Amino acid sequence: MGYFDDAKTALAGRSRLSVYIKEETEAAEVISGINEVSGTYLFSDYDGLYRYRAYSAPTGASVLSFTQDEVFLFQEMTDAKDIVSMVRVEYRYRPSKDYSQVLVYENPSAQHLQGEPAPLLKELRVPLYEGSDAEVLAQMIALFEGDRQRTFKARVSRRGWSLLPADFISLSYARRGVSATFEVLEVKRNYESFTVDLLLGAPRGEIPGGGGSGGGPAGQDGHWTGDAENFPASLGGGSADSWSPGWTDEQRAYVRANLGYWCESEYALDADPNSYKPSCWSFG
Amino acid sequence: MTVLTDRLGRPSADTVVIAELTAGERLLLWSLTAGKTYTYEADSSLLPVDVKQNGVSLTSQSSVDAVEANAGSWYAASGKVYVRTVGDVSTDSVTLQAIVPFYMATKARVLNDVYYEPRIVSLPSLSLRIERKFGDPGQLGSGSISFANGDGYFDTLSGLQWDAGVVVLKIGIDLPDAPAIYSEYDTIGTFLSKTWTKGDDKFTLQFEEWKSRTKKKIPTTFYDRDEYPGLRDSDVGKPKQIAYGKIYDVPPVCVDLANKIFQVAGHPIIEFIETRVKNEATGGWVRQIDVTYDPPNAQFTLPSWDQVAEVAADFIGKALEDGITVMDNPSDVIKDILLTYLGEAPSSIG
Repeated sequence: MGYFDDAKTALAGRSRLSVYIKEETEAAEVISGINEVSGTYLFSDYDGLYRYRAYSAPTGASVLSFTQDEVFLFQEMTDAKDIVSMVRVEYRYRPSKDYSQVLVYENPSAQHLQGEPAPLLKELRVPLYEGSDAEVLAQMIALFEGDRQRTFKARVSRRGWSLLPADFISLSYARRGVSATFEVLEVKRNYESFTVDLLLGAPRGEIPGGGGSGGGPAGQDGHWTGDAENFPASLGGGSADSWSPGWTDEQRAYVRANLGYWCESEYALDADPNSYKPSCWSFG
Repeated sequence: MTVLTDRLGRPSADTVVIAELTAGERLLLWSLTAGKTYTYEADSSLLPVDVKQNGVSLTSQSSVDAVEANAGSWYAASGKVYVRTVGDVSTDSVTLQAIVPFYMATKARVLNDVYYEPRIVSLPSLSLRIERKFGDPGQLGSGSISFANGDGYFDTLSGLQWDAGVVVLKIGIDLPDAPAIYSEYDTIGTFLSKTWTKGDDKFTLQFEEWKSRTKKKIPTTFYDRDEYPGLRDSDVGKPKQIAYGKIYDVPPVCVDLANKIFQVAGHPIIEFIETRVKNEATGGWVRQIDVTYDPPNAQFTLPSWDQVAEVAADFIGKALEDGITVMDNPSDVIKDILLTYLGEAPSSIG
C-alpha cells in the first residue's frame, strides 16, 4: 500500500468531491481546495516522489520517540489570531442558478473563550456534494480552528533524519514539563551537525485551555487513562501505576502528560519536590 | 536505523555530498548514417543517458545496427548520437533532445565506476514543509548549489537546457576503515533546475522542488472547429472541462449548433442525471425529457432546443478504471490530476 492508497482508505465516504474545472486553473489551486476540504497534504519527498497523506490522530505506540537527551532546543509559539466559532459551508453549488446548499455549524465555547461578543464566522464554498460530508468538514474546521494554534520548534538528534512532514513524534523534554505527541510540519536536516530541526504542531483539536508551560503537558489531547499503565520501552518500561520520587525527569514529564494521577496520594508527596503542581483533587 | 544514521554516530565520520545532475542538449544537424536506411546521426560531445523525441524517451540500444533494426531507439558512441525515430518520421520534423549527466561531489570519489568531480563549493539549505492549515498553498521549496568554475569547465556548458534536467543530492559518511559505497548514500533532495548563472569562479544552479510542476494550468485541451465544425461561436476556444464526482447545474458547451449537441467534459463520464432549459419568459428552468445521452463522449442532444435558451446539465463525472465507480475520493482525484493532466509518471507517485 502506498501513501495514496492509505489516504484513499482514510477518506472513503468522508470527502466525496464535486470538482468541475471549466477554466484554465493552476493545478496547485485545485489541489489546495481538495486538501482544504479533506484534511490532507500533498508534498514531494527527498526522492522527488509525491506523497499524499490524510491527517489522522496518532495511535501512540508506533511513533518515533525522543527523550530529553536527544532534544537540543525546544521553543513554543502560540497564534491566537483567526479563531473560528461558527462555520458556514456552501456545498453542492449550482452555477446556472447561482445557489448552494448551506450548512451552519457553531462551536460557541470558542467564541466565549475568546471573550468575543459575536460569533467568529468562517464562510467557505466547498467542492462537496453530500450533506454529511459538508457537516463533517464544518465540524472539523470548528474543532481545528476553534482554538489557538500552537507550534513548536525543536532540534533533535540524528534519529530524526528519516522524518517527513505529516509524521508524528513523541517527545519528552522535562525541563519544560513537556511529554507529548506532535505532528511534524517541517523537517530541516543539518548536514554539518547531523541534527534535525523540526517545526511541530500540537495535535489538532486539543482541549482549549489545556497545556502550556508549567500548567501541564504541551500539545496533548485531554483524555482518561487506564489504571494499569506502563512506561514505553524508550523510557525504560515498567509500571507507571503509582507516582514514584525515584522516577527520572523524563518519566515524570511523560506521566504528567499521558497518565492521570489525580487520585494518587504519592503525587503530592511533601518529600518529593518534583511532585509538581498536584491536582486539587488529590488526597493523602 | 539506516547505514547512514548508524555511521553518523561514529566520532571519526567524514561527510561527503554528491550531486547527480542532468541537462538537455538539443540535437540538430542530422544526417543519414552511412550504409543505413533509417538511422540518422548527430554530433554530441557529451555521452547521453537518454534521448527523447518530442519529450518521450526512446529505447537505448547497444549498437548502430540495433538502432537500424528498431524504430524509436538510440545509441551513442565516439561523439555521435544515432537515432531511428518513432514512425520513421524526419528528424527535422520532431524535437530530439539528449539528456546528459554530470557527477559532482564535495570531495573526489569514484562510486560505481563513475568519477564524481570535487566541484561542489556550496550546498543548499533546504527543508520539507507542510502548512498548519489544510489547503493553504504549500511553500515551494527552492535553493541553489554552486560548482567550482575557475578552470572554465562550465563555460561551454551554459548553453545546455539545464531546466530540462534534475538535481539529485545524496549524502554519505566515510569511516576511516570503511568508505561509504554508493548504496550507502542517502538521498537528501531531488529537484528541478530552473535558472543558472555562470561566473569566473563558480556556476550556480537555482532549483525548485518537484511539486512546483503543479503550478501548471489545466485543462490544456480546447474546443476548436477542426474537431467540432459546428461549434457555437461563443464556445470556440473554451477548455475541455474536467469533472469529478456529482456535478450539478453546469452550462454545457454547444459542440454542434445545427444538430443541438452539447458536451460537458473532455473525457467519458458515467451518466447524465438531468438536463434543463431556461424559460426566458418566466425565468424558470424546465426539465427536458426528449434528450439523447452519450456518456462515453460526455454529450447529449436536445432536439427541441431553440438554439438560444440557456441549458444546464447534472451528471456524474469520471469513473475509476472499472468504468462504473465514480471517481470522487480525493486521493483518486489528485492522482488523476498528476498523472493525466500534469503528465507525471506513475513511478513518481509515492
